[in-house]
Amino acid sequence: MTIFITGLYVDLRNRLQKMIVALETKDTDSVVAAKFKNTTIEILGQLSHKIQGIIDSGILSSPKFMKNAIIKYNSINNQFLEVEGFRFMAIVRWTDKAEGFFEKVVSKIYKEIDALRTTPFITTMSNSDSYFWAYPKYEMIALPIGEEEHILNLSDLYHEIGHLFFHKHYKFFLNKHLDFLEKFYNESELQLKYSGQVSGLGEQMSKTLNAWNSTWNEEFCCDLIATYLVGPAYAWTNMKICTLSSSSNNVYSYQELLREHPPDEARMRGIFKMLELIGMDEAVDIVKSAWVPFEKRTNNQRPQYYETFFAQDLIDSIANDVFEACKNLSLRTYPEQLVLIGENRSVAKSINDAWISIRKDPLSFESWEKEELKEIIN
Amino acid sequence: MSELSQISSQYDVLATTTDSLNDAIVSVKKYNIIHFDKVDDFSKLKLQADEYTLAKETIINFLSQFIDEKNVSMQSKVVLPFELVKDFKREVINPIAFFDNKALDLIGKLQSDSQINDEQFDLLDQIVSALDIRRTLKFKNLRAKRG
Repeated sequence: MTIFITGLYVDLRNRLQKMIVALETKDTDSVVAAKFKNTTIEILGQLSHKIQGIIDSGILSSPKFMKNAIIKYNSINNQFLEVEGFRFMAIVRWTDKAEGFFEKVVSKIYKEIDALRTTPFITTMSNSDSYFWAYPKYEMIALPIGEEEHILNLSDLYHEIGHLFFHKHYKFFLNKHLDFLEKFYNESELQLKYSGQVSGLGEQMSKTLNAWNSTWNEEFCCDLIATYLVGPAYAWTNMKICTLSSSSNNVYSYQELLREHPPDEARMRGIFKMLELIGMDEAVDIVKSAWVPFEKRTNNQRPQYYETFFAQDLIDSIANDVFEACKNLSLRTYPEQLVLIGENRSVAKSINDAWISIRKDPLSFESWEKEELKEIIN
Repeated sequence: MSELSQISSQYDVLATTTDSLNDAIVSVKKYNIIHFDKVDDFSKLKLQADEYTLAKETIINFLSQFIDEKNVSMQSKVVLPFELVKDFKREVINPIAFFDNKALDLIGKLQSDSQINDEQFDLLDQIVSALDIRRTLKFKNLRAKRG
């Protein structure tokens, strides 16, 4: 058995080394992609070194260490698979047409919002048509394949940029909110108990507070950062998400309250609050003229205690914190960006124009979008 | 639209904890072989003094967070996030008969640099294996979410 385990380590080291060779022969003109590739080679080199250290340590020849040697092997294999899945695959699939395009888009966004950060690595290997994701650990953002041919969903890019900011400035974005949240939950539980609403209350309060702290705070923050940066376009993108979730009775997360994202309706209220904070009250009225009838007609159900779990006070609390944090980071609001560009084009303006264009004349939107995409990175 | 960052953070906590506990167990096993087994078969084994000190501290901190407060006089350091501690205690620690006694005995031996017996190493391997399973499941979750 010990020789078998040693064989597994040797095989893994060989795989790592072959991956290093494959990466070394992959050329790119992109500075961002080249840096990402070089860091990947470094990580693989460190893993290879770690394997050699275990082989040389002598623990593989004793049955006393077998369990631990297997765990170490699994650990390094997972690290290898993580690099393969998130970094290697992204590098080998990198094209100038897709990733190169988005790299230019994000670089332009960073200049427009005045983000003092280096451009993240972009990949288009996410295989769902609506699924954007960020991986802060590797400072990377993924978009669906073919997304370079569409504008409307690009508001989500700002949400993913939000994840990268959030991971750098976590406490900054939730400055007073965490204490407020805790206090609000404690007081609300007492109030509900006094008013006689106690069925399963304690457990529900504990589970939803945990969800706020583990994922909802971050997701709300990223929505709010996106709204701060891209303005009303983000509200329309969320309205699209709500349209999709309404068909499964999930606008208020009735089907699955404790999912990773907070309910789409609560997210919408956060977006409205941020639009008000950046001075776009008029835009709120326009989106609400579509949102209010939508809410009424889709008639989705609300989970018990919904008004408490997602009270407006909680939404306001997190929105105020994110607004202050964005200001302190000197990020430009969407209206500030508009003033600076004057008559010129910006990525955020193109996305907002796209939402105006499709609502004004849906049938001619395709040709409008095609022309706009040619200009968006100029 | 990405819960990947949260899953990644949870996975990183599990991976770091599993690796550090596993490394600590390996170091304590090395110490036992070098000091008590007195056999030459594993003459390649090397152990630095600070590596052993860190290993003892890691194991003691990890076990302490699961010992009932009434049974322990030491200040326990929380290693795993609160929610994970609760689940791990319910699913892994509680089914171990007389866990508190076994853990306290083990901690005592580590503190006095005494010989750890096979049964005690089996207990440590059982605990780190359970952590490894959770780490691997979270990793599968992470890869699936990548899309």
